[in-house]
Amino acid sequence: MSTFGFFSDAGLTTPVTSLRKYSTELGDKLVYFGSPATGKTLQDAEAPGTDLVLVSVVDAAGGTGLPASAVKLAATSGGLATATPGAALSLGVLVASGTANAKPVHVRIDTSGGTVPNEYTDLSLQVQSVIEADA
Amino acid sequence: MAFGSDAYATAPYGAPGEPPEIAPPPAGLSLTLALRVTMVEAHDVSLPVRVTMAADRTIALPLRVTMAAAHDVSLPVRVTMVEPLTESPPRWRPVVTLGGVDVSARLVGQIEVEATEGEARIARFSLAPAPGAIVLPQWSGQPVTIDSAELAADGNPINPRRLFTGVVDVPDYDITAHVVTFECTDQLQEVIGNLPRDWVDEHVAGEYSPAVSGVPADTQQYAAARLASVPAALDLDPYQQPRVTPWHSEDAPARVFSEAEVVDGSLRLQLASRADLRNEVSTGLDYRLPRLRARVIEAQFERTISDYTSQGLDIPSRAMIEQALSGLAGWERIGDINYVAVDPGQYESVGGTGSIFTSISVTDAPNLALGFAAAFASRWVQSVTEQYRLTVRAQASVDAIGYARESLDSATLDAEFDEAAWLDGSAGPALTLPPVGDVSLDYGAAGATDRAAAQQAVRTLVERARVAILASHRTTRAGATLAHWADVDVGQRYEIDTAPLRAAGKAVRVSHRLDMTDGSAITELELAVSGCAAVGLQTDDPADPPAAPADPTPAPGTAQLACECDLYVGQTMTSPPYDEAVMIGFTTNARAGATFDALAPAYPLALTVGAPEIEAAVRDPITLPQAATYSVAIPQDTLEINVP
Repeated sequence: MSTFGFFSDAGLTTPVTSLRKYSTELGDKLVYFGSPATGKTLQDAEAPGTDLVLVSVVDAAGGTGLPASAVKLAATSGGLATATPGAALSLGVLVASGTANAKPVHVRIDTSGGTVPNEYTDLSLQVQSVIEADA
Repeated sequence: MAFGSDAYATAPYGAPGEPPEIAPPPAGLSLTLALRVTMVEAHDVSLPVRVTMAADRTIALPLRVTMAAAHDVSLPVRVTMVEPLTESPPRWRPVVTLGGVDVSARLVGQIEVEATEGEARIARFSLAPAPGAIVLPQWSGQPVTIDSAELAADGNPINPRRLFTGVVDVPDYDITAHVVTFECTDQLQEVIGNLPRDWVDEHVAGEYSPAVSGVPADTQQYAAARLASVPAALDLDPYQQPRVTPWHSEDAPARVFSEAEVVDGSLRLQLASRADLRNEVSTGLDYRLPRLRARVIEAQFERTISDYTSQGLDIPSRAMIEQALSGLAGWERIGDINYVAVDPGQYESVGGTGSIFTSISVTDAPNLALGFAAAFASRWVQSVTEQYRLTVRAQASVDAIGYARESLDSATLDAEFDEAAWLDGSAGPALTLPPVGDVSLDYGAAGATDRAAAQQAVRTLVERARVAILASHRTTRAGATLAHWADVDVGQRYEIDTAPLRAAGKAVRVSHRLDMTDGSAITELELAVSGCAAVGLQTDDPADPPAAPADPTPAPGTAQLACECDLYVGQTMTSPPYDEAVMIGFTTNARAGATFDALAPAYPLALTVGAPEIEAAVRDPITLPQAATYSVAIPQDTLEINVP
């Protein structure tokens, strides 16, 4: 089982299992990707050390629900303004474990395309096809 | 054994001390040569051979192969679309989760959620736990959400609106009532402390200067430092998300509450006390910096050959000149000495007593000089304190109530500098020296104590003073108790529009109370009403720092840039007595000429050069005051009181 995941804090103490957004909620979301374990690395499974580890917006129900373009990702709060809707966020070719290496992921969810009242669960943030190894 | 029969043979041959070659035996005698044979014990010479028997060995490099399966890390996103409220719902139901479990069915008593601008949101609710053992401490820190939902016709909650997200701070058990009451907090400090600083930079913005705020230990202090210069509040929304909301906005109120929505007799109004108002705030910055200075001066002396020969004067030797120019305390010679060469030859000068002949040989001429020129440099550090006195004033308020002054702490920005290292040339910055004259450079460590840092400190101080004035002018409070409006929050601007009171402003306190016992639900609202008795337009100046005070020191005059070196001739009719303190230059004596007087005071043959003093104005520490005044406009919120 991977020790890497999404956390609500930079100290990587509180895992996040779901990112909840209400249409009445005004602000952006901030989660951290990383591993609290020691001596671990995460790389792309196909081309470790070459291909980037990406956080992608995955739409499990294309055509229905909210589109992936409803989500913007950025490494900084200021980067959200210019981020491309639905585009993946690069975490580099290797993500090391430890709190010092926690990667902030700022998330802006545009709910203007949704209908009220409703609940959409078709979107997710995914770091796909990665391998975890000892450093 | 004996050898021979005469005296020669008295000693046995081979005895010690009688070597046979000293005296040969007489002729005719037979000679017997004794052989001394030394018997030596036989021995072996051997070379040991050591053979080590070692076991077979394999050199191996272990390879560790970790088989890691490719996998995905996923975070589901759940988006809930909530219908905006158009009226206070007639039927409501709280939805409370504790540790992720819906405990709404066990709620008893009152649910309270109180949000105050800039403070942690707190909540309180009570549960009747199921019979059995309970472990109170296990609830501490458990996540809590409180929503207020409308109750659909089928009795199910719909359109939940979040009132609170946080954790249990203290669970308390009432043994008599068998009720557990949970005190909860939204963890404002922890959430802010966990934010990256770029979030603060973007959302709080404002001005920040370490010289004003100090170096923050964490993000919370950093956010507080920036917030002190911004008329806005930083707190968490009902979803525990950080947000910055401005104190004032020209936008229309999020909602206008009319008489029908205000609980009878609940209107409240508390006007700002004059003692709390501030309409002129002064502050200041002392910016201390080293002004690195350098000066280049000239030493020059020249006379014509006839000046010397007409009176039979000595001509200065180059050695004398070099020695004189090497002793200028505090000055360093730059470049070579330019000598005015002497041409060898016979010089005749016609004076009152006839012709005077001076002979300068080819050998002597290169060692003499009619004059010289050389440049010298000196550098020093002048301590400069730029004293900015900053005044921020709300003139409209001053006109209305007179001056209400306050002084905020001043700041100091000190550009530390290793003066000794600079003076001895082991550290920069280097100054580009002029041919003659002064050059100066104000030193400030780049990005820390430089000019930009000083200007940033001024901006920060001005904005802080502005915020102090604005804060004091929004202490008027208008409030009312409303029917329950779940979406009313401190991040918004509202208006209370009733017959006796009409007031608008940003909500600074919102309290929701849902009572499970009697089914009542209310929302208490308190607005901050900004304003003063301003008439007409007010100006609001940007916090542009004033220009740095100009260097008041005058440019050095000729006397400050030239060495003293003159010609003093003794033994003339007009020669005063020799005075070493006054006669700086070339001193010599006349030997002929119209004014020659052998009885007049004689001077020593010497050459001295006097360097000018660095004047106090550019050397001593200096304080340069600079004042600036800024206007601030007080936002005018609606506040109308009607006496029936």
